[in-house]
Amino acid sequence: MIVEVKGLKKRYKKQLVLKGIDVQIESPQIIALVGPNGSGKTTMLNCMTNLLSITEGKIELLGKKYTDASLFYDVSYLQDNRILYGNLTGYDHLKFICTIQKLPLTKIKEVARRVGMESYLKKRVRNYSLGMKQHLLLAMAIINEPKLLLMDEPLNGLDPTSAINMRNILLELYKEGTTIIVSSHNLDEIDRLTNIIYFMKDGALLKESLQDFSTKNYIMTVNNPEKAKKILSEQKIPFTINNQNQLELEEKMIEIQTVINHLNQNDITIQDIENQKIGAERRYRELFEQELSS
Amino acid sequence: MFRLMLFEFKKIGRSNFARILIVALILFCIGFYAFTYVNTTRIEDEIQSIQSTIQFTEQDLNKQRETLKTAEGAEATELKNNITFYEEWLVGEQNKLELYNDENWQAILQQEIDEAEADAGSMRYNGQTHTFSHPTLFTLDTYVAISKWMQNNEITPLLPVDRHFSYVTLYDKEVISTSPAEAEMIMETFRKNSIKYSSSSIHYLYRLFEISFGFVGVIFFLFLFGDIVTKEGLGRNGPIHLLRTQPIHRDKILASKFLTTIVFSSITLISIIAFSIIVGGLFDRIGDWDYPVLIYGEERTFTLMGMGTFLLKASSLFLLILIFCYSILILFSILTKRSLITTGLTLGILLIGIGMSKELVTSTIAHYIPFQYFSVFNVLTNELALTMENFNISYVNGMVSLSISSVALLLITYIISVIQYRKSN
Repeated sequence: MIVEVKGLKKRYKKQLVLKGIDVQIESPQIIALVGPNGSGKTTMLNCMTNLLSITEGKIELLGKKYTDASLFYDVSYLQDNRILYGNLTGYDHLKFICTIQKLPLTKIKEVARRVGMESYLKKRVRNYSLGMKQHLLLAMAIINEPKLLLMDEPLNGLDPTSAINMRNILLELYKEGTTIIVSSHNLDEIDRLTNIIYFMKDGALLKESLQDFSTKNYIMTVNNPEKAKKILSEQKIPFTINNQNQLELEEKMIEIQTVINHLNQNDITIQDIENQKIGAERRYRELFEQELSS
Repeated sequence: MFRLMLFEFKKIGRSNFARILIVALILFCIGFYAFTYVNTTRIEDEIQSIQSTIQFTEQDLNKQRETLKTAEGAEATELKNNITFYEEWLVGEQNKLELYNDENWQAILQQEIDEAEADAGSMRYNGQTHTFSHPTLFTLDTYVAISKWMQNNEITPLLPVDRHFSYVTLYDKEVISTSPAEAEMIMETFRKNSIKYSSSSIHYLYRLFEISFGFVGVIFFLFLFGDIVTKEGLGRNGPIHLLRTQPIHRDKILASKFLTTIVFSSITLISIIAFSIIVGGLFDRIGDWDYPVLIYGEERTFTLMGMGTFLLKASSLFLLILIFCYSILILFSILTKRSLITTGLTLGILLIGIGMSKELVTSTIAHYIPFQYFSVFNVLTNELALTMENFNISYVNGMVSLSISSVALLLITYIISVIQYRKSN
């Protein structure tokens, strides 16, 4: 078992911020942790890495109890950049990890090249931009080739090129057998990274695979939307109308060719059909509709 | 643990604040050496001084001899007596000059011993055993003992060798003079003269430690190395979380930080010692490690201690004081998790503690109070014990009190950190 979390509860003073989390990961996966601020994502990751004690429950990572410091030989946690020492260079940080984890120092150049931070490796961290710091944090997290990689908002401050680079690195690691749990607000990037999403809401976890949902949506632009609505309703074909007066049809629920035939037979011209993937954002909107409207 | 300590070392090395403090320390050491060097009385100075005195006296004698040719009666008799006295005195001075030219310290010291013993014998004979006028019997006795110690160990004495104007003890509280203001002024001059400087390594180190091993030194070390335990906000978000997500046991992080402060403090002290040996050796000489230091005893008794041993003891006591202060710092760091507040609270506690210990110095519990031992040199020479009439305030009691207090504070810190972790923020 790579991750086994059972009935994890965490209480801050009187507030229960994690309400009995259960996670079991048996084979390498990329899992996204998504939820609004304060939903408990970071708390959960901090509990899993023993940065916070737990109120109740059981956590085992790679078969070891979460309090066992030796698990950090195989588990890495990419945290926010406040963990960096401004006076030290990127090289110093990586060297420290190599020294503590008894890794050869040749790893430093290797990982710096992989992450793309060779040019500023020997600069002091206090002179780094936000993106450079994220690169360093990533390098620190992957230098030991972990079996389990926990990441808290790794995409913060990354420019598009760096974000693509990070995504590729994570996909490579996944292919090499690393399990990755990544919390992020960047839903587009998550879509590109994985379709296994753990939505967090008020300290509870909702595990979903987007494959279980209709993965595609057709967005249809027609010359006469009103007539089209009438025809589709008569044929009992499920659809919705978006705010641009376009027809939205879920692939799972319809036969697209049948819809086209019905519309053509009734002299409705289809001006455009867009095939859209139902992504994390759509699901997020559904789950957090209330928060979004407020 | 060693790897963690090396990492802490690197952090200190890269910190601009620490660099500024280290540069300030180096400049202070250099500056103080320059001051010591300038204020050192050298044998050439002494020879020149004796030569001038001889020259001046000879000129005066010649004048008196000229005057004698024309003088009559009582005036002539007085002049003759004067001339005889100064001629005899001049012989003594010329003899002294010869000894200084030969650097014959054994003979110079013997002269001093003979004269001081004669004075002491006279005082004993007259029953002046418990007076406070300079030089007291205690002062003469210690002077003789110190001179004999130097003779036996073939030690070069600090200049000027003069028991009358440059050697006082705590018992010398007054000089006999018609004017109290003048008496006070003279006494003050004697006290000032008794602080002798030498640019040799050992004596420079002695003076340097004398002014540093106190509250000022403690503050310096707290600012220099306090960051190691306070800056990362133990238990808060911050770089400490980097350490806590590495294969390092939680207790080791705290222990390594504490040990690092101690090791760095020791290294700093050792570096200062090495610096003094190098500059002393380069510009003067290493000096005599067994140069006698006066240690006061009860009831006008005393012992002598070699300066090397004395400095070793002083360093160990000061190091324990630092450990005690770091223990306070780490406790506040755990409690407040704020660098500035931690440092402020620690300084506050130290000030209050030292202030209160002065109030309680004569009480029966005085020697249990760790703050009592912050004036390292006064504790070691027993000056504090003698002044406060409490000989329980001693080096050994200081070491015990500071050790127990530090261990107690560290234990409390450990318990609090365990409780805090269980409650977790």
